[in-house]
Amino acid sequence: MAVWVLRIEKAITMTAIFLLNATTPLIQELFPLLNEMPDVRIHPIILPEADTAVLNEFETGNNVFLISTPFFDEFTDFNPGYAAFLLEYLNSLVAWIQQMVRLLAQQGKPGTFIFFTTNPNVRGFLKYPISPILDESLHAFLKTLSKELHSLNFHFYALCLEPLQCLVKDPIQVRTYRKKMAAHAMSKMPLKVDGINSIIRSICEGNLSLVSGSVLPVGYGSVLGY
Amino acid sequence: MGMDPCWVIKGNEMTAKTVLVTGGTKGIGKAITVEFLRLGARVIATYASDHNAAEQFKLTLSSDLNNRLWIKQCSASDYQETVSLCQQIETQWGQLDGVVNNAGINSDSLFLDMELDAWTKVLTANLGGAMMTSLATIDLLSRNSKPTFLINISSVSGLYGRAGQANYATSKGGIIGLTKLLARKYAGRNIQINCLVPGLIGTEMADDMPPGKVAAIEEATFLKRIGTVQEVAQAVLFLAGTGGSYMSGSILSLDGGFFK
Repeated sequence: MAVWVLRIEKAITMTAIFLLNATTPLIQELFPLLNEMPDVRIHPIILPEADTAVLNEFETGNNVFLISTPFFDEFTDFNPGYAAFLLEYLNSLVAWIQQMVRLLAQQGKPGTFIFFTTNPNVRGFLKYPISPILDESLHAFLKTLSKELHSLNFHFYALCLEPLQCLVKDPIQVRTYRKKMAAHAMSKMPLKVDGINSIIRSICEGNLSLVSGSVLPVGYGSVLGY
Repeated sequence: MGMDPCWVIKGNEMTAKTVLVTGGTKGIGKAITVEFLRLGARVIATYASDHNAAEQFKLTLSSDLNNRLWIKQCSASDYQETVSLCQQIETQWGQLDGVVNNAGINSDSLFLDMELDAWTKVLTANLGGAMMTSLATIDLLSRNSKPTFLINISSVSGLYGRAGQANYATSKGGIIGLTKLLARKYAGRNIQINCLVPGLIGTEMADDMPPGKVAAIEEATFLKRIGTVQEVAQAVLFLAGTGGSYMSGSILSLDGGFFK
């Protein structure tokens, strides 16, 4: 009896990952893990000079933009100054994304944008930065772009994160967190970046293209129901 | 707990209440202003620039309603202007019982064609307006000895996104986030903070849309029609009255079952 084994190999395509606000703790922790991914070139980006700098770095496989904000705490910082700052921040972010999308579209190359956002439900568990205004703005933005630009091979996601361990380093805060999580979650530890990395990997590989426009709550289930 | 037989809005519940409605002289805001006036409230209706519409609106009201209406030119996104308006309200009436953050504009186009100016204008007017008005009025609201309310008007675009409305959707999404933030932050100050999310409503905004687009939205709506400004005003009254007394940080959809 002959046994035929069909071996399917995914075509190897190069992916470029662009890290916006590369100095945030989240990106700092993610960087070594992202670096381990095969066929990936990583480019940290500092606004605003990014436009021309990245022009020659686009790949035909995929171009993934990880957009991390510095996790503003709107709960404590919401005031007229912050409101004005937020509008300015959104304006500059959008102008930059529009430029990237235009450049990629001109070259006929695909693009994937991943926004890291917070989850307002974590407030009350511990003193942890949440940015509901910024996050909900970005969520509506990426849902809109996902509808508009899907046909041009652009995909948009938000990873709505539970508290990150890299932002909750104080042992007292961690203890408080564990205590409060006891009734809510499978794990009583703040979120580590390893799990986030595997989701980014799936997105980079194109496995989640049919859920473009999604806001994905990431964590141990304690603050689902975003 | 004893309740009146019909307690969503009690007969005299709005009498002598002072309510600020931003963008209160046109479209949805006008309907909200009229409904509050009809129930006996004093209303400060603001507008940003359309002086003629404000004048016309005044002419359509009876003298009884006009006596309780104060129309003021005030840009919702200008914090200092709104603070100054609050001082005038306090001097005139001594208190503020409610705020409806309604002012909004749109300037639709596909994202790749969108001018930065259109983006900035819409974001500043809608999200900036709601943020600055909330910040300017929250202190006066919390000094009221009775329960007060702050109602934000968002849009289904802010919840689900909408092609051709990247700027509008982003601003309205931000208003949903603003509601969640304020409701949590000011929970202890006896202010009911909620958000209303209308679908397409028969206003000038809908009039400006191509007829085919409106028909497509009607077709995609369970109730096969767009909403009316009166329906939005009724929902606002619900949130402002006893009916909304146990609602905080709620995002209430009013979209006729719009297919997202």
